[in-house]
Amino acid sequence: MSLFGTTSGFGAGGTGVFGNATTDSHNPMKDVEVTSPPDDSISCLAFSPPTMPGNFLIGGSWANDVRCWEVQDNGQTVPKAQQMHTGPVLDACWSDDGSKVFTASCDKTAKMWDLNSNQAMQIAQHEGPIKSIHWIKAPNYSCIMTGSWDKTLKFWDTRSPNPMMSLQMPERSYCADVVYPMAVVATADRGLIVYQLENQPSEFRRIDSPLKHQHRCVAIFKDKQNKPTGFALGSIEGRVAIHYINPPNPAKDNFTFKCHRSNGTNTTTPQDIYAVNAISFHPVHGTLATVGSDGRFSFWDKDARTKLKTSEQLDQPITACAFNSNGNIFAYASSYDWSKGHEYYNPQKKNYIFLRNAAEELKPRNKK
Amino acid sequence: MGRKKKKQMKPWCWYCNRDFDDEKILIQHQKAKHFKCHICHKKLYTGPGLAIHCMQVHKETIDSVPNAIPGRVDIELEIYGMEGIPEKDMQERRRTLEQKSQESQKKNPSKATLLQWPSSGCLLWLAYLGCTLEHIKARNLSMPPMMPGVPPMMHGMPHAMHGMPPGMMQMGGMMPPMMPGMPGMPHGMPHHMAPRPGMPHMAQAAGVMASRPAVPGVQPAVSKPLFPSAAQMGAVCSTAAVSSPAADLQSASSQPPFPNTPQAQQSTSGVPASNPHSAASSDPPKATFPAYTQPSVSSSTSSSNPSSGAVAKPPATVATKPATLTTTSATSKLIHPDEDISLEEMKAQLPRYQRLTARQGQAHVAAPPVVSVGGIMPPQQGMPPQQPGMRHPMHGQYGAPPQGMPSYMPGGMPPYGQGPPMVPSYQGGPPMGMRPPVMSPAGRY
Repeated sequence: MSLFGTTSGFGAGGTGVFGNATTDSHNPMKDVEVTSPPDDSISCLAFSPPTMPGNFLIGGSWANDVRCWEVQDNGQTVPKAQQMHTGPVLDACWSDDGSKVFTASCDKTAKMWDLNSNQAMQIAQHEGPIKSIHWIKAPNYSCIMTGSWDKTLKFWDTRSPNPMMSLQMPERSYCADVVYPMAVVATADRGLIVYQLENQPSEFRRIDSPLKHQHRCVAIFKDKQNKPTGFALGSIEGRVAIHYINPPNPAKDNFTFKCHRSNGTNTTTPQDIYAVNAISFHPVHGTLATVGSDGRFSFWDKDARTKLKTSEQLDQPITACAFNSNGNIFAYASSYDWSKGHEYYNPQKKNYIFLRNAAEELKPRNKK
Repeated sequence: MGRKKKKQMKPWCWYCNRDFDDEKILIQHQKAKHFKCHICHKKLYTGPGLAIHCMQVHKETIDSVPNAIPGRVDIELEIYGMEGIPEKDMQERRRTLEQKSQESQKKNPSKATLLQWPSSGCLLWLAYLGCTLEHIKARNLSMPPMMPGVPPMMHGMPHAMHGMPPGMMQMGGMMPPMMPGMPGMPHGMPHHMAPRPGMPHMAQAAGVMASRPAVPGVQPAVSKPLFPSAAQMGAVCSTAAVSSPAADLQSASSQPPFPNTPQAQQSTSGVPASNPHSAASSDPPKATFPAYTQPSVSSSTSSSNPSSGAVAKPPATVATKPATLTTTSATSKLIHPDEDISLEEMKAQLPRYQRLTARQGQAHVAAPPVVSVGGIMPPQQGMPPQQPGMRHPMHGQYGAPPQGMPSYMPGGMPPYGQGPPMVPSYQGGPPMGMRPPVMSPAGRY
């Protein structure tokens, strides 16, 4: 009965929209649609690094594929290539020089995709699906970091089949982010671990979660000197915590805010609370974007502690988002994230990736 | 705002001088802040009502209205919303509003509300607040009524704090504290401009607070020089954040857009200081962060509790079943399946996604012909689809970036939609699993 949490019926807000098949609401923001989107839910999006000219977007999906598009300046997207895994792709990232894409999958492997040769090679193996993959470029080493549901965090030199290092985690890794020299992993059971990556990766601190619900996404932010200084953590309860690693006054500097909830002003019906599926920070402004199961994206300024914008509601949850390297493009993916359980899964429903011009909307509010 | 201006001005709370957009919100605010029983949290309708309730139910007397500014603590006055406000106070208010509006013309043409901000007394008041709330937080209490000069509230705070209430008394009817919730952001805005110069004072007052280890589990302030930036960050943060170190943001009176429900009761030490700024600087008052709560949950309760709520599944004491979440409460509903595992884990349990990993185990050593992947290809380039990718001398083909495209073959690739459906292609299961160079014969991309 209440297996999928839909007992209270269809309250106002998101649930109703899922039922409708209005042709409009798949792109209410009228953003650019990426051509040839994947055929199943999109799990991750990533833009090419600034070291290579042009903008290339990769997206991994539950259709076991990871696709690459070129995003041209006029907004046109050209599908370029794709690679397959034998299981759904859960995460993907670029190397720092933009020549390789690393993909992580439920098939417990991670692959390195050389874009020049369009060959992909397995570089990592876990005992369980790999949920997150990040490229680490340190002055004295470079490697891949993979976080898996097998409760380990492994670091791989792509040339060797054995990991350079394997760190045990208290629980399954649910999300991670890396900005050298800092890495953050959020695990099941509300675990939160920060790692430092200088010399070699090691656990830096375990943090008591600032949130009371399952962790879902995490993103590191940097300070004005471009050094990582904290992270934003999103949970399934429509809330994001901004947490600094060493703030002068943790009680004041760390805070949480609610987001991705329905029924803002109407307090008579129960409020629908949606999961925050992904968080991305704008590379230039330091403002952040959150996307949620309610099918909306929002832009926030964490220093002014204000919301900059919330989008209209899409008819599907938004499962992933990414900014390109100069912050002009915001990409977000509209596909089903399972937030309403099995019943609402419609394999026929199209999945989309949208691109939006982010240059203006993410400018920080002037404080004071 | 259905009617014309209420008594020619926006609704404001007589007890704490805060402004509101709507009388309904004002009433909600009063009920939550001033007419709420500190013992059982029941919300009454008026001051006398609260007094009577406390007497009858808890056998306790109260002599002043909670969270009221000094001079407005009269528990006998029957005030409800804007009704019952003594005429004298109304006039005084009107006068101050006029003064304010003139003064704040340069900053914000629309509203002029609260009184002058800075005075050292005010800042002390804030410090007191911040201290109290942090203290409360440390002890995990719910927010006590901030009655100035009520000794029981002090709860053994260090001496420094004792000096504060007297300081606060001096404010005498002045400053609407940043207190009960950073209320009426847009209204509060003008006076926030003023306190900027007061900030340094605040910092010193804050320094007094710092003597108390307010934060539970405070981490070493200077650990490895690893994230040195964090230390510098403090300077930026504190100025922004400091002016209201502890404000209970749960007042329902703040911005309409966000569900700042009155249920958010637990201790909060939000820092809404910059809200007014944000409102000030942009005309459409973008909603502020709705809840500056530290990890307190206003609606759905914590996860991993065997739920007693609407969930039908038994609690997860058995190893096989995952823990369940409490997804429903009276006021809100988590749109998430009940098990406390991630959405991806749930989806991955589906047979259609499982099949692949199994397949990978058996088939990988077999010779390739990446059928389904090949499948996409034929329409595109007339390359023999069955080519086991890796044997194909791909390199020769791709090596040359012909048109100077950054390492990709030039476009002209027809959209993916074409070939036979690749996707749930587990039937064709390109058993690419283990083999190193997984060649997608889509070579020419």
